[in-house]
Amino acid sequence: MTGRRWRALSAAVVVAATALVAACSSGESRGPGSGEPAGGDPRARITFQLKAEPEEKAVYESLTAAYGKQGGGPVELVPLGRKDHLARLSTAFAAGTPPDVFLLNYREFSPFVLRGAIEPVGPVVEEAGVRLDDYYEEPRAAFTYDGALQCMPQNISSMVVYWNTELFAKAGVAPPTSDWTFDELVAAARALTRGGVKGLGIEPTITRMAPVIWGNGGRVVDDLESPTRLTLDEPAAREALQRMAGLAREVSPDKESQAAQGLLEQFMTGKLAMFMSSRVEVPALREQAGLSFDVAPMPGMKQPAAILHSDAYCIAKGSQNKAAAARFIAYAVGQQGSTITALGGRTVPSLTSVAESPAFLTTAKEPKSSQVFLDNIPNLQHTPVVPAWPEIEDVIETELTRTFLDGVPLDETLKAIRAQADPLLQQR
Amino acid sequence: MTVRVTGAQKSYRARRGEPVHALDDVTVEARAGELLTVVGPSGSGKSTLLRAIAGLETLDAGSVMVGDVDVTALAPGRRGVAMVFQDAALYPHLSVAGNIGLGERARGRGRSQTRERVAEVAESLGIGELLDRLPSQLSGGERQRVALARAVIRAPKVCLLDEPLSSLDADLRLRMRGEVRDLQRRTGATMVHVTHDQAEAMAIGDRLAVMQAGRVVQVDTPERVFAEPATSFVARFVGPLPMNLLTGDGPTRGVRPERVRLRDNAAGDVDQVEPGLSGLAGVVESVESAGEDAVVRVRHAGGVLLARVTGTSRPSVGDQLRAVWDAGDEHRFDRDTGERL
Amino acid sequence: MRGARAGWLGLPFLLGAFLVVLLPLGLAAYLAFTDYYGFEAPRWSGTDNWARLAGDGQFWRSVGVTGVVAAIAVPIRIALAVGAALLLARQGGAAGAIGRTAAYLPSVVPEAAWALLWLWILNPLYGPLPAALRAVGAPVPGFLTEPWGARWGLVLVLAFQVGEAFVVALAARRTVPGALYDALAVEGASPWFTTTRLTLPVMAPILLLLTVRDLVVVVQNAFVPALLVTGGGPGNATLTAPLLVYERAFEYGELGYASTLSVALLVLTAAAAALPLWLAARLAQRQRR
Repeated sequence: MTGRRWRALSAAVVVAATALVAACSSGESRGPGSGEPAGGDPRARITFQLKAEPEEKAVYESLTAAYGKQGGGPVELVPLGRKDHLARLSTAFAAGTPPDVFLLNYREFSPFVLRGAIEPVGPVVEEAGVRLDDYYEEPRAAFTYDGALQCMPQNISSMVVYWNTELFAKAGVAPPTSDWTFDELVAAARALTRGGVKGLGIEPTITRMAPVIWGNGGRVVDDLESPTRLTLDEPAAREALQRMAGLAREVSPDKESQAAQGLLEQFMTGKLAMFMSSRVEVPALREQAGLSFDVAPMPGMKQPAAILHSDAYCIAKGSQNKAAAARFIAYAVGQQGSTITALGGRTVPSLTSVAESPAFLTTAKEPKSSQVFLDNIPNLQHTPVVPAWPEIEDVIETELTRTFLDGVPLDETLKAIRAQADPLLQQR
Repeated sequence: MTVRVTGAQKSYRARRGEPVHALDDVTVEARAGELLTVVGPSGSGKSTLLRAIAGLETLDAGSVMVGDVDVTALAPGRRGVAMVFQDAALYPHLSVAGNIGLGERARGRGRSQTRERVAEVAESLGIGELLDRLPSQLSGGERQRVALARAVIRAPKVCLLDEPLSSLDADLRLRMRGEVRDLQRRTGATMVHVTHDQAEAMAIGDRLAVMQAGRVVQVDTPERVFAEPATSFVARFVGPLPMNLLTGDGPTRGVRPERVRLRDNAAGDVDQVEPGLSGLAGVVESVESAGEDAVVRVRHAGGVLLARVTGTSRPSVGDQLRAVWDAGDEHRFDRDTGERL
Repeated sequence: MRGARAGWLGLPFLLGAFLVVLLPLGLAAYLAFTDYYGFEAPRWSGTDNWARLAGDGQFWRSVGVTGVVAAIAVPIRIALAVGAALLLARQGGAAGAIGRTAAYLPSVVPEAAWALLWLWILNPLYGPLPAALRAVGAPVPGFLTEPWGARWGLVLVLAFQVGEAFVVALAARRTVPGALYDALAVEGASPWFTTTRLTLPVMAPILLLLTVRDLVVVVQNAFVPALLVTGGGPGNATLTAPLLVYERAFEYGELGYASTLSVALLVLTAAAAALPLWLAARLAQRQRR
């Protein structure tokens, strides 16, 4: 994707967003930040660090620009690549100069909240005019710790199946429906695997496998509140993993192919008909010329299940500008802010009213079946909150990869996973 | 084995300007079993000549014969020539034994055979005790003996010595001269020895080849080079003291300081010379003691003249005197070319 | 008097060394005994981190990976640097200049750019190296997909950035007196004999120093390609110690324990460097006069 193309996109988004915002604001009685919380000048300059690919960066630029037009203070964006966000956060905190506001994925939430990096966001955003009940409950529950809402959910994404409409048509495979079954998914993946195309990209990560395990009636840990061990070797979980591993060897790109080109890139270039991910891929996929795609639910083997993918706005404990930070967050998750980020394609809004509005559900832009994300909401589950969770994810991926790509027996890798991960899980 | 250089030419292009002739049509022969000393001031081409014989320099033109073999195009190692370098050029990482034996090893001789031979040679040069030492632990004389041993171990028919004694102090140099001579006599090798020190050349060489500006100007025994220098340059270069040269309208006249006698001339007589003697009048400018002798500088109308006088009656500075010599002791050189007449 | 004055001249350097080397090192040594996550002040934890280190299989395996990569890469790097230096030492003129530039060039390329270049070169489907190997019918070691293939890949990325070592080796070669080569030439020694019995032994103290320096460089530099080219994988086959320290500190946020790991790594590297350094000092002393 060239620089010129995403600059053009960014301009388009800004124009569209400001037009819409202008239309909405007339109907809004309360401006952002009408309540004045304590913690510094509410119009002070704040920094906002987030993980964003170039396509997404444009969305946030329009968000901060619109915030300024509505009388908000200046916001300095610090957009970083996927790998650099965490490293930069750690160093910024260690150096005593954390960003006032940062976006945190639920998967990365645990160490930050457990190690005291976060100023609980609930009271301050409520003071800034946010009515928490307007937001979906699941992400709020996930980001609640010690009885307080720690970070304000921006979105309520979940894992879905992305599918290439053209490859389906070419292979004569019926498009997935909102109630398709796991067997239909497998049949479609097999039918699509031909002539240099693979049917379904499968990543052996716990983020991708957890909903499959839940859908088979299994569980990931013994106790979500205070886990003591992983339960991937319990029959239901084990069976789900075993089926997916077998399927991976059949319909997923092999390791040479994956080392040469990632699953997303293979999907974008028509080498892969389906892959699993959250809402996050939409901006890049919309940018890809000649690609037509849609989303479908990930069917459960026995029952529907979905995994919460959510990002939330957090305020750093050391921030000197908590008032300004709260005011910005209130705007960003408010009607206008949510609408702007939803239009960018990146988010499934956590604000119910926007999620159910055309800004998100529009069929003018791909994916047409955005409703799938909302349908997932009743089935959402999440992984436990323990400080070593990111490392546990890495351990599981490293080991499962051996089974999924190298054909090492599953029982061997499950044993290795428990040996490494259980002690980590018990760390407090 | 004879070493014969014929018509050797070698020039270096200076960074800017005219090429420098290091060797300019040099033809010279070291006879079998002879110690030929090549002597000349620095820059005269003597080292280039030696390196050309060894094969370390390639000639622009001319040839090098060792015995009956034309070695001009052969690599240094295939010329059958041993060489002793200035400053000994010992391998710093090897013991004395290693230094002496490395050449043998390079030529494929076995380890134990080499060790025996090294011990033998070291013994003959009186360095048998030093075999385990490193070069950094040796004195100057010992280093030079190791360098000699390194050449001797090959039992060479031809041995080249490049200023082997120049880095030694005076006393040691005198002793080592004798050793080099002995060695040559013992091995019977043809030796070509390069030095800038004419005294060393006179002492060691069977014959001298005197070089000047890339040319060989005289090849002869030390005695004859001293007695009958081929050019005025040789006359001044060879000998304990340079020959006095008197220039005038005719040919240049020369007389060795050793042949000059000084006479009292308090009266200041001018040119009162007895038949058969030449002479001139002058004033003593300085008197330098040289052991039993003294070297007297006499300022005269045409310049300065040196006289070596013996005995205890030395003139004093400022004395008016006359310097005289037998007409038969006078050398005559062409005023322009400097060649002997 | 003169010594005292020279001492004063060294002050800015000493001050700089204190500020940028010793102070951070001291801080890291302190953090190594704490629980520290960057969010709140470090909490003294005594020897807990060290006890954890002793039983941290991951760390010791990563030290092993680093050791293996260094054991392969360092000799190759030294051989390339010294080989190029010996070939080019007597090569004057344009050819020499081109050769020296070519030898130094890879070191001028920024680490990250170099790593990304190799990511393409080693790409199993689109990379020129696997393609070339397949074309000549040679086995492709799976540079990014197999444990040993990835380690070899890492070695390849590291192997050619030897500009500094090359320059040092070139300078070292040029300090060997020409008369020694003349002496051996007259003895009829072959080029191989001359190289192995004269050049390399005389250069040995410097070569050993270079090896030590290179060991440190490789242990450190193995980080960038391991992060960007192999990502530590497949599995943890190329999870080198510095990459592990990076993950601990910046991905898992355990700054205190990461300090413990890096201090341990420093001590291990120093221990690995001590023997060759001692040997080099002895050799140099032998030759000095």
